Amino acid sequence: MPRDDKTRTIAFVAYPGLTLLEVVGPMTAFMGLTRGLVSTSREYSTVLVAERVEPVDSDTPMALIPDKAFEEVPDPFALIVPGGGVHALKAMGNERLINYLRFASHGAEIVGSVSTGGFPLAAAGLLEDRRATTHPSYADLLEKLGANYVQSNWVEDGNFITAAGVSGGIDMALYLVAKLKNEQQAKSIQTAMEYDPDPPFGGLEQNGGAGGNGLATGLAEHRADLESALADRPDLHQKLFG
Amino acid sequence: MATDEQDQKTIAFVLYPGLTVFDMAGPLQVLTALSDIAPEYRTVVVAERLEPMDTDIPGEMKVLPNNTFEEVPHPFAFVVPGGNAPTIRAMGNEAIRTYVRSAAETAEVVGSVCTGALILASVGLLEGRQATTHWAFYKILEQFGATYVRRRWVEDGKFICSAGVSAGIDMALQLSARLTDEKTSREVQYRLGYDPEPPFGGIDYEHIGGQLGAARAGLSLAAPLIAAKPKRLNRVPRRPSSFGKLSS
Repeated sequence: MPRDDKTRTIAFVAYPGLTLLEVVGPMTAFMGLTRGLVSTSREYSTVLVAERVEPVDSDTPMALIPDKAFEEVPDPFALIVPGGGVHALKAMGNERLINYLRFASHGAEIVGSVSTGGFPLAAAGLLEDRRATTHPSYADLLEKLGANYVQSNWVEDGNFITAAGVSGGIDMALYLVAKLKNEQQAKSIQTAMEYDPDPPFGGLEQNGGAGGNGLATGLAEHRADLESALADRPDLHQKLFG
Repeated sequence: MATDEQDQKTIAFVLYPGLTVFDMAGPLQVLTALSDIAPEYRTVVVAERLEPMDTDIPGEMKVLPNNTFEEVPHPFAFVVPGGNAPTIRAMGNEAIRTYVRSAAETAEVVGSVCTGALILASVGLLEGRQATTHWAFYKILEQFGATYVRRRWVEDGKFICSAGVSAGIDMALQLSARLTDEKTSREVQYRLGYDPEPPFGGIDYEHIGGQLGAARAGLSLAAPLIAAKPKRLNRVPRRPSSFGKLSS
C-alpha cells in the first residue's frame, strides 16, 4: 500500500481486554478519511498499534491482530485509546503502553479516547485539569485522576477529545472526519455505514444509573487483579482506591 | 458465572475474510455483554479455519475466530455479518453455504447484518420471507425471493435481519430483549454506553440519490461481480441451489 511522509496516521492503541466496538466503530467512521474514491487514500491511514504484532484479546471472543508495534509508529498524527472497563484500568499499570502514550502524544495533533480509554491517558498524566468524559459509571474515578469530568457524548479540550461510550466513539469520529475533511464526507461515510441509530428502547436518559452496581461488582471481583496490575504505580492506586 | 458450558446456549458469529468488521463487532459486542449478565448464553466466533483474516478496514489489522464450523455445528443462534465484494464471494463458498444451511435447521434464531442477508438468501433461507439488508443491495435480496422491507431490523419467524452495518447494534439490543427481557437489554445498552447522537443528524433516505459517493462505494464493488455472471444471477431466484459456483 503506497505511503509517504505526508500520510497522516491515526493510531488506535490496543491492549488485552479492550472493547472491540470502540476500535471498530471509530475506525469504520474514519474510512471517510482513509478510503479514497478509487483506492486507499494516501492522505490518512488508520493503524492498530500494540506492544507486539501478535493477537490481542478483546472483550469478545474475537481477537485482533495489530498492524504495527509501538516503535513502528512513533509519531502518529492522531492517537486514540479505546476503552475496556476493568481492563483499561489494568492497562494503566502497563509501563510500555503508558510510555508510548506519553511519547506519541507529544507530537500528535489529536489525542483521543473512547469510554474508559481515558484512564490510560490520565495515567500518562495527559488529562490533568482537562475537560474530559468517560463511561458515566467511571466518572468519579476519572476525576480522582485529575480530569474534570463532563457528562457528554464527547468532549473537546484543546487537541484532546474524549468520548463517553461505543456510540460516542462513532459520533466523535464522524465529527473529526468533518473537521479534517468536510461535512459531506462525514455524511457520506455515515450513509455507507447506515448510521441512522434507532435503539429499540430509546437513549440512555431513562436508565442513567442502571449500571452503577455492575461497576461496583466488577471492580470488587477484579480487585486483586487490579492491585497487581498497578503494583508499579502506587500513586494511581492510592488516588483511585485511597 | 458458573454455568456449565453444556447448559449454555451458544450464539455463533460467522466470520469470513474481508467482511465488514463493524457488522460483526456491533452485535457481537452487544450479545457478549448480554452473556455477562445472562450467563446461560455464550458467544463464539466461528470460521472455516482458525486463522487470521482481513477485514474491510484498510491496513494490516486482522481478526481471529475462536472456533471452527465443525466445533459448533448446532448453535442455539447464529448471526451472519455482511460486506461488499467479499460477501458476494462468500455466497459462493461451499463451506460457508453448508454451515449456514445446516446450522439453520436446528438454530432457534438466525440473524444477519447488512448484506449478510444475501448469504442467508443465497441458500434459500429467506424465500418468501420479509427481510432487510443494506439499502444499496436490496435488489439482490429481492432476486432471491425475499420481500425487502426498509426498516432498521425485520423479524420473520426465527429470522432477524438488520439493515446496514451499524443497524446490527439496534437489532442485537432487540434480540437481547427477546432472549431475556427489556430491563436486561437496557442494562446491556448502559454498560456499552450506547446513546447515539450523530453530529450531523440521521440519514435522509429520501435524498440518498444525492449521496453519490456512498452509493458508488457500495455498488461499484459488487457490480463487477454481478455483471460478470448476469445469467447465473438471474437464474438464481427460483433455484438458489444452483448458485454455488458463482465465484468460488
